[in-house]
Amino acid sequence: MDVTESALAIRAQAGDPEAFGELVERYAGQARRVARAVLGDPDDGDDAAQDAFLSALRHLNRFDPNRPFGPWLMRIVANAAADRRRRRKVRAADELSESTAGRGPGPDKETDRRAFLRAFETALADLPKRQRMAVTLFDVEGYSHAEIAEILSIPQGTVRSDVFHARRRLRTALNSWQHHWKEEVV
Amino acid sequence: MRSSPFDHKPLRDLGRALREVLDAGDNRAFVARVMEEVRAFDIRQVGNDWWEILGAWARPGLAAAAATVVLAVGWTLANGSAAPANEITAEDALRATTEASVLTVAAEPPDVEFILAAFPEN
Repeated sequence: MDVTESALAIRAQAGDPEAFGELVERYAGQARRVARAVLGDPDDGDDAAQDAFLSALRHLNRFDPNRPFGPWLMRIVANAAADRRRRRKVRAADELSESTAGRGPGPDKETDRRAFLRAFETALADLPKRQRMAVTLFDVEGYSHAEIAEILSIPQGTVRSDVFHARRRLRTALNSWQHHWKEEVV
Repeated sequence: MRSSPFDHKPLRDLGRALREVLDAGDNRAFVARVMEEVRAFDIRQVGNDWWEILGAWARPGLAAAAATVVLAVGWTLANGSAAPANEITAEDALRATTEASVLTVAAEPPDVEFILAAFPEN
């Protein structure tokens, strides 16, 4: 565990808003991405990430500074995003443009890349919520299976299975974009 | 030995593509927005503490009041049903030898043998 992060958490628990601000800065990107993976929409994702940081601040006394801050915060982010999703009944797939979904590569390189990312976004949005979170936490944020199991409150075996199936479904959906897909997925 | 398909390692290219799709852009504006709420939170927290303290006091108070009402109702029902007003006990019937009025409030007509037995033999 990062000692500085632990020290920041202790200072934040003692009521130092600047220490908490440092933690917000460190985890802002991660919290926004994870929340967006759940909600699909970037604005909803930001709202959920903000709710999560404020919830973390309110319950900071429950955090054990001897443990890593990231998984504890990500658990709050995942719950905040899931709550918001339930309340607003957000369907990530609805937010995406159908005109670009599933389209093949175009002639222009930049257009091609953007189209690939949109197709990728569609494929991601089509995954079950838990698989989206598992693959994001594993492949983007670098959390271990054990940490993800703790964050999502599910067994490690389920995390492994979710990552496996998410990757397989992403690969199937993106077969036509193999030139963007350098590594073998799964 | 072949490893399980579930023993995967993070995939760099997949992670990069996912990150690109999920990144919402510059974090500075977001951090500033959160920190504005964090600073405001201290002020609101004072108000929240007040309500939390009052709420914490109110909850056991309400529970105690509810328990008192339940006990009072139970006690009233128990005492009320122990001696209903229109029932005549043997003691009342014996007392009726001198208080004839009790016969007028009895639900059933008195047993003649019982009344005669109450008078001394001539």
